[in-house]
Amino acid sequence: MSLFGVLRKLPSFNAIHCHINFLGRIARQQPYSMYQPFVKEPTYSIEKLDQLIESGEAKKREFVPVKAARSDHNVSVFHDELTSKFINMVMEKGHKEVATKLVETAYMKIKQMQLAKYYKATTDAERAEIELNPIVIFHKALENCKPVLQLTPIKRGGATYQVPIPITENRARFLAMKWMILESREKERTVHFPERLAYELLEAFNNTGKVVKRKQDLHKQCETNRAYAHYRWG
Amino acid sequence: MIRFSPTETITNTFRTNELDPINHRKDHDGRFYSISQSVKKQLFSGGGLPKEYKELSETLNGLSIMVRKPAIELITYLNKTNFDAPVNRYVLYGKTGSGKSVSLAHILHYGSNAGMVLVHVPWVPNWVRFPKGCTPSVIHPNKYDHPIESVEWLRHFSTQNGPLMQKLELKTTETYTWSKREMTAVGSPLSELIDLGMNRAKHATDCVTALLCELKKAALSKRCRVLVVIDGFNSFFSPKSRVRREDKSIVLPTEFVLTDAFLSLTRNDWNNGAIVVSVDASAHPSELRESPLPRYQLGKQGFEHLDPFIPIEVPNYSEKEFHSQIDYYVERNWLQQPKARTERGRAELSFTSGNHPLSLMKLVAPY
Repeated sequence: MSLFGVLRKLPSFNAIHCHINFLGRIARQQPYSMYQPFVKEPTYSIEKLDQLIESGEAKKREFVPVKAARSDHNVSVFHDELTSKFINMVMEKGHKEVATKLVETAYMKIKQMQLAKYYKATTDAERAEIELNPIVIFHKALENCKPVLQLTPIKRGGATYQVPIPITENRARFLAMKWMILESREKERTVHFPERLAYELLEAFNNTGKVVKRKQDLHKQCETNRAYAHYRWG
Repeated sequence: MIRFSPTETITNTFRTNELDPINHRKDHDGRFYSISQSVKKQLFSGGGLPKEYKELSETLNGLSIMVRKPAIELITYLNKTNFDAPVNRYVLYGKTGSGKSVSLAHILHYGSNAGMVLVHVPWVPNWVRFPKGCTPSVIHPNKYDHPIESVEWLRHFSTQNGPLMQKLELKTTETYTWSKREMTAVGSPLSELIDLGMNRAKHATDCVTALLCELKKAALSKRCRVLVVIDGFNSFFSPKSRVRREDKSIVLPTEFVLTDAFLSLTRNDWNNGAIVVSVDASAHPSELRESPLPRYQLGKQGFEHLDPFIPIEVPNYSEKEFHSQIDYYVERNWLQQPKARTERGRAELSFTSGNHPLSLMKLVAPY
């Protein structure tokens, strides 16, 4: 059954749709957001929608206004939220197609490199150890690159100190992605971004490489500056 | 409600043990047969497999070609051919990326196993669009040579037909005078002619012409059977090329010596052979890509040259072939996403690719 079939069963979803724009755009209270705080993010995964309908949650959400669907959001079997976010960060000047192509080429190269190892391996045990799924590698690589603390400049008595403070999940994910992209952009003329990105992701997956080193350097800096940690509260 | 289970798969027999193309029949439709590394090196080291397809076969640890209807049709025709009648011309046509080159590769393997001398041009536009240096011909006025390409082609010919040529021991029927001191006498082995062409780039194009002439005569006198396989044949009649004269005017492909040689071989004035040719929209410049059909792609000149021919369409995948292709990708660990291997994933791939072979390959590549 299609997504539309699901939505048609709950007529109130359709009724709300025409009111969303009107409700959402009065008096912006949050900076940058076109929507008022009570407007919810859309659920577009068919699995999650099924769960909501089964558990009865859907009934409660019938009259809650929902943000407009983004063009990234789709029910494709290849859709991955983290990859979407990453592609957006790779993108420059709005060239989404170029960014998608770069990241997808990197995924293909990861598969090629891992398959080369896989077909060279002689025992089943060796083969079982090799991870072939590029999205699994991407997720694990990002996890390995996420810092746990970050440094912030705080002024005390005329001097500016780099003080270690806790980091939010979003900020950690952002830093991991940003470092990954910056590292992949540094290159020789002949090695292009997708190939570089593939190498960096594979190294980060194995907890080695430049991006993981950058995270570890940050952690070391935080450790050396732990004396200033109390400056966070003045 | 749409539900999918990541462990759900469609079982299908997608491989066949029949490794000899001569025996491929209708039952083998949609199944993969593998080609050994040695055969791949012998037949395709000079070209013949599309670049991405070749790279993919190297990644997936072995070249496997799907047996499809166009190739099966051709094989049945070739098996039943009356070789005393004039040569039949078969033209493969279809959208770009629908599998014409791979079908031709299949036929090449068939010809090799059937003991036919292979005259194979991997991709004609390479001679028209990216020539490595055309020189005006000495022997033919107002025509142009391809010295480097001819040497490469002779090398490719000798790799493909090496063992067979040694067995057949064909001899020249004419004297060829290359210069005051160089000549190839009557009755000298053809391998001498080929070696001369490979060593002397200046005479290579004329060696190719001579070789094709000799093969035609050999086929007529029943000393050998010749299979001509040309990919991108419509490029011989392209309105443009990258070769320019000194006054910057464009040299048309019909003014190449190589074109004359291969057009003479693809005429039906000989017997004891077969000619299989493909026409592709991508072999022409972008102005001439509106229709994939043979009459449009060949143009008036090309059509009149090849007429009468047997057109064979290379369509998109049928449902069986599509599932077989996905099964192959899954088995070779190329299609990794577990959700994509389910029935719903396959339905999505079938829809977004439109069952078009090249589109499917590109969609599956990153995941």
